[in-house]
Amino acid sequence: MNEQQLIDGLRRHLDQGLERLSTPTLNRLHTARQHALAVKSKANRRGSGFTAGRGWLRPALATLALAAGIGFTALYLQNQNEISAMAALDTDLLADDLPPKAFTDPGFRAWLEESSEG
Amino acid sequence: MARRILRGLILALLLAASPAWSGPDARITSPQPEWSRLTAEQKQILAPLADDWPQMEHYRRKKWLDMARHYPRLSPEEQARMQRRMQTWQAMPPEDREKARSHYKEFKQLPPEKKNEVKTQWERYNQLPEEEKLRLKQKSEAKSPASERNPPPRQ
Repeated sequence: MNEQQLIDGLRRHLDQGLERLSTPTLNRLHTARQHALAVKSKANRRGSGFTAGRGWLRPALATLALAAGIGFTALYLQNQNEISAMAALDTDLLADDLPPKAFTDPGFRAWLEESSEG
Repeated sequence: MARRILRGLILALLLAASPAWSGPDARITSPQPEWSRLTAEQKQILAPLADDWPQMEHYRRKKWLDMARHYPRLSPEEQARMQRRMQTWQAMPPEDREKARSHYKEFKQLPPEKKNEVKTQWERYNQLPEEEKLRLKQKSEAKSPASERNPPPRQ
């Protein structure tokens, strides 16, 4: 028996079974089908979940998410450049003859000004 | 789906706003390795920071790892100076670090003879009596704006 013969045999068997179903059973099956179709079409009209009834919200949120994503990536890349620049500057600063304190000591600043004035 | 987008947006905004929480030099970066994951060379260069590493913010770890990459180009004397100053620099308030960077940038622009003059003046300044240093400090603080003297507390 090949595949097609098997399918035909099964179909015939199921059709015979259908013919033997009683009218009340057929009616119940019909009503259940109609009910399922009605529920499905109502759900489709209404949408689902958070964006239900707000067709504009989903594209708006997606655009906003995209914009935030691009903004965040740009900010992230800028920050990586700033960290690299800061690392290069801090390396020179810490390795310099003058200690970092020379660049934070307010007294030394005033001393430099006085000496340049004098 | 929409809820997930919304959650993502809120998270992105929180991350973008996070530098405001940890000082003026804070930056956003990806998670950086724990001390145990550093290479032997990185550990040797950054040894003075080993104890601070676990509490250190990721952007700061990244900056030190970048600095470790610059380290080999320094002379042995400069390398020793950098290592000696790492801890004090790390412990400095962020506002002071920013101030030092800004003044150092100005200093770097000076011609060599001016730089040497500043170095000579630093040596002379260090030999001044403490009262004289205090007078100079008060003079400088009287001239600087209040915001510089009393920077907002670190958040």
